[in-house]
Amino acid sequence: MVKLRMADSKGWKTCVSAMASLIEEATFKLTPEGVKMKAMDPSHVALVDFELPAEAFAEYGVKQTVSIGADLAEMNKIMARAKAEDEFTMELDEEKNRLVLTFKGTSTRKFSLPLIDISEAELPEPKLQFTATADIAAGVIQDGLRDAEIVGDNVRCELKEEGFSMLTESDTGATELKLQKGDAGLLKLSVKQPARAMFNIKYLIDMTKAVSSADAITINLGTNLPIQLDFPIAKGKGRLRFLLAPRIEAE
Amino acid sequence: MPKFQAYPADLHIHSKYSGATSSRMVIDTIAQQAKLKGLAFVGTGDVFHPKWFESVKMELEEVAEGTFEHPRYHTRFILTVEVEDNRRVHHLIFLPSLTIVKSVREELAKHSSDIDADGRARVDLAGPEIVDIAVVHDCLIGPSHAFTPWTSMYKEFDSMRACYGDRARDVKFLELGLSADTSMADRIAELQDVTFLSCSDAHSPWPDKLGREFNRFEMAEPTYSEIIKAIKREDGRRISLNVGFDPRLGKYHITACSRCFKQFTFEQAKSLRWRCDKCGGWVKKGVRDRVNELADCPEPKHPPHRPSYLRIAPLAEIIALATGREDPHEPEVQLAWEKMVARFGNEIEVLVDAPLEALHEAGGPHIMAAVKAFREGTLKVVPGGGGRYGHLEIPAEVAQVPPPKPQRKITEFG
Repeated sequence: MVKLRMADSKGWKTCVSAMASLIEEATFKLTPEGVKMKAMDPSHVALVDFELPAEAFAEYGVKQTVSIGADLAEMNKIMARAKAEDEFTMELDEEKNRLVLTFKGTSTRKFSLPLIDISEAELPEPKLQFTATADIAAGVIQDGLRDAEIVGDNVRCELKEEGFSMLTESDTGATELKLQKGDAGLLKLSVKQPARAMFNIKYLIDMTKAVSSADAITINLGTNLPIQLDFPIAKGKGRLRFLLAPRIEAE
Repeated sequence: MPKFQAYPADLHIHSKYSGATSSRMVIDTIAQQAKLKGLAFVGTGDVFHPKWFESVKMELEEVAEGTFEHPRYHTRFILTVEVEDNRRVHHLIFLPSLTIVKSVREELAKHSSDIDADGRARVDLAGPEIVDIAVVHDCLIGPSHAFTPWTSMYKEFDSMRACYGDRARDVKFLELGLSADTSMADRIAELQDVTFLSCSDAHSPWPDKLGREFNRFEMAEPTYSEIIKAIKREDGRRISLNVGFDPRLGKYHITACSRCFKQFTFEQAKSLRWRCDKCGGWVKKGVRDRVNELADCPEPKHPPHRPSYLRIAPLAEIIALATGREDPHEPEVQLAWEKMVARFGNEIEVLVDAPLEALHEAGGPHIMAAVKAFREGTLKVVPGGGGRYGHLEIPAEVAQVPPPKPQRKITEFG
């Protein structure tokens, strides 16, 4: 009997929403230690890496490792129906090959989701030597990306000792967001070597849109390397990580 | 004489219950994407599958006998299914009502071990026996993708009569498949009286698959019975246009290796005994060579009833070419596709009818130039074969701008 219960549905809801904007189907690996999921988007530009340890759950009943393939868009539709404060339970109905999702609040609501077979693709384990990192308020990044979207398709992200910046330029104009040391939105900054790279705005918007604007995003950057975005979940016990490959910058 | 209207229809697709089909092939998504694509009708596909049958019944509203409508997107559906016979030939069947679906299914189930499991069931019956069952129940049946090398009528037989015996006269249509068009099929004399259908056989609902081929039906009202009359060319109803891939873009056009896709002439393949000299894989006979074998004349002889065949390509692929992107599924391409379709209502309007000035205004000079080149037939076609689709290339004079710097992939950093 596989059963997972969380005190509220907010964390799972946020994660599924962010994942579903990038990938259609996912295999969640449930081990006695916790839940893991790793997948690449169809064009291999972005990678999602999700971990939620057993202690993040109010109840965690997984005795043996089991893989659960799910249609994320369908799961996201169901999670959208949950109220943030609803107690949330996931149970595996092995007989019917379904995942049963229950929301308990002022009433108890049940949904079931058919499990799907997903061929397990081999995923890369990129070894990236990041040279700069920062913790930034998610709301600041979300605003900056919405600004950038008006102007172009790509944004150049830069981490220097002075702070963080995002710059977009195109034929229709330019926009820049700057965060300097001491600004309220820049929570932490560590720069071994300045780093910059260019990324597709639409992907970054998809990755960040589900996060609450008050949460912090940890950014890791290296020049012309993929950007790594980490969102703490379940009060920092778990992690949702995105890697996004850069675009090659024009000379 | 009633007033006729044109209704675009893609009558061959599969649901998520067929093998190798996207889990997104559900009624809502199909209806929504069909609308964006400008289709008035879609075949349900897979209607013998119990779960799909239930979805059709529950999620669509029957608005006329055998005619179903999606309550939100108003896309209409007719009941269709594809079955595989005991010679691995695929047949497409159109059924007039849910009751008849049950009856036909019941009869075929006696000869099928997977009718509950796969949307495209295998039936241990010969072509004429399946036609018999279909005709008794007032269904319409014809060969699917008739020339392809794995599961088609002409891969197995040299004529309709060899496939269907004396029931061939009851076969009123033939589906051309992506790798053939009217000009190729009209070189075969026995097909003069047969109506040609161009359908997508889509396994996913996205616009480069669903409705990539369709038929423009000219009929009095959008119903099943009118569609059947149009296929039979009765009472003035007809198909007024077949719209489909340039056959070179299909994945079985040229004779080629099914493993490494090396292409061969017919003579080369024959002398190699259909084994690839590069990788040892099986060489599959391309539709072009198969039609050459079957043809009764070197040039097509179109009967007077034959509609024109308009060659199209997926708009997303043309936008990708115009903007220098490798993959039509890249977000920039999808965004531009959505913008163009929102502006002009559907993809066919953009590809075929929209004025160039309006395209320029909506999509910029490069997309306009690529659509123009496509309409004028100046895009280069690299033909497909062996199971790999053909693709388009844009001539240097049309691609006047340097392509944007490429998007890297995560796998490059592994």
